[in-house]
Amino acid sequence: MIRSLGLAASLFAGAVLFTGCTTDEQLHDVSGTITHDGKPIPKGLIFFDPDAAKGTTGLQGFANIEGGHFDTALPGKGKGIRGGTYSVRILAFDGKEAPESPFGKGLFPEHQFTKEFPSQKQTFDYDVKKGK
Amino acid sequence: MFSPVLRARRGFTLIELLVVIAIIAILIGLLLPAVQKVREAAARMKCQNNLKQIGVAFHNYHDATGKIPNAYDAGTGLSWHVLILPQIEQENLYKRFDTTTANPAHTSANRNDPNGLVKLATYLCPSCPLTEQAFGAPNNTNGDTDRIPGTAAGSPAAIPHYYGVNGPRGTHPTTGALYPVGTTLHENVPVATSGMLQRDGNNKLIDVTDGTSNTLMIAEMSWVSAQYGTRYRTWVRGGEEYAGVVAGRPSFVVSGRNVTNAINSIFTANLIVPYNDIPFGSMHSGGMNAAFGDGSVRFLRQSIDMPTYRSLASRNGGEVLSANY
Repeated sequence: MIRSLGLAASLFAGAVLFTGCTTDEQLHDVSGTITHDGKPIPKGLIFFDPDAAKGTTGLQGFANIEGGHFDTALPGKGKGIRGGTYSVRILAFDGKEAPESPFGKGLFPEHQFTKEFPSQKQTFDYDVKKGK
Repeated sequence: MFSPVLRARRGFTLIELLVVIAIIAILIGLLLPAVQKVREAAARMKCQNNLKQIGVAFHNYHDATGKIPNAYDAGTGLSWHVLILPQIEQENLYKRFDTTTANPAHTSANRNDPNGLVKLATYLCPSCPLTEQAFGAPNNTNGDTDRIPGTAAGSPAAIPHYYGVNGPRGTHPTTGALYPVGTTLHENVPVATSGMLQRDGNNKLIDVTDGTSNTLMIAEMSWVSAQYGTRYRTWVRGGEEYAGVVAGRPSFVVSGRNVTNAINSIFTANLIVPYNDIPFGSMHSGGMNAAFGDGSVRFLRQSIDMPTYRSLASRNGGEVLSANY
């Protein structure tokens, strides 16, 4: 009897000790292909800024674009999104590294638009039209 | 009478010794991380004190001249770090600067100023080990022209860890419109124009209609990133130097940054972002210190809501702030 009580107590203590706090909210990863006039962007960045005017708050999602592809799930290289309306910003560079320009020359001024994203893991492909 | 067995000298057994050593090891293990925590807490407080000094200096400058310092002087290109030197009791250093001659081109200007070698403790966060410009791989961003003097034999410039807030860049949390920015681009990105520190104009505290206690003035950018992270410049240099005000300029500011990206997030991911958009952040765990327009210093968590962070950066956006930041 006493032994089983002790076992139960140690199990409880273990549960309290090892569960910890889980305050991290559920973020959903986005991946996809970003092209400029049909051609993949050599190097760039994509940001997802929550649009509070449409009721979406929270953290900023971001990912590296390499060879046209981006994935917020790459460990340490991106952050997913909560879902909702986001202001998407795309920056693109030619990838030819040089002093003072680690990404190379810019391909076009930052491209920005607003889009709604569902609250789930998803793919998102986008083509930045020439002249934009 | 004592029995001879009890009277015989009896040493500790191996088990007893091991238990004692184990207990001591556990106690040390408990203590050492706590010492590191206290060290970091002390560094954080020193950093907050630096920001407080800068905040008070800004207010004294406002009292003396009727305006808060510009992000940098449009004529000489000198940073606000230089402009407030008399207010942080560095009058003697201030006298060594040429504060009248205009720098007509943005190519050289203040980057090779010999005063840029002076390290001021007030401008350095004790948690950040990097106090001068980094050169060489993998930081393929700073050329020898940045050295003082600007040759391979020159010395690396001292850097500041505190930067002005140019303003937010992105969408307004109430109207959904884009925050105002300048018309010229640097690395594809313009300079935000709705923050407290601007190159142009006589900006007074009364112009901060969002309230000085709700508006970011100076924040930390004091971190070391393994790759490309050290895009620092001399503390003397303010930005793109032009003699006089040119409409739409500047295309970049050295002594300030846009609030475009989340605190700490980008540099921990080792990403490089356009110069104007390099995020604020620090080596303190979980966020950074920032001085508000009223001179108060607060710790901003890196998990701050992005729209709230933008709202704090604008001086006249009319945003409604939630208490949770």
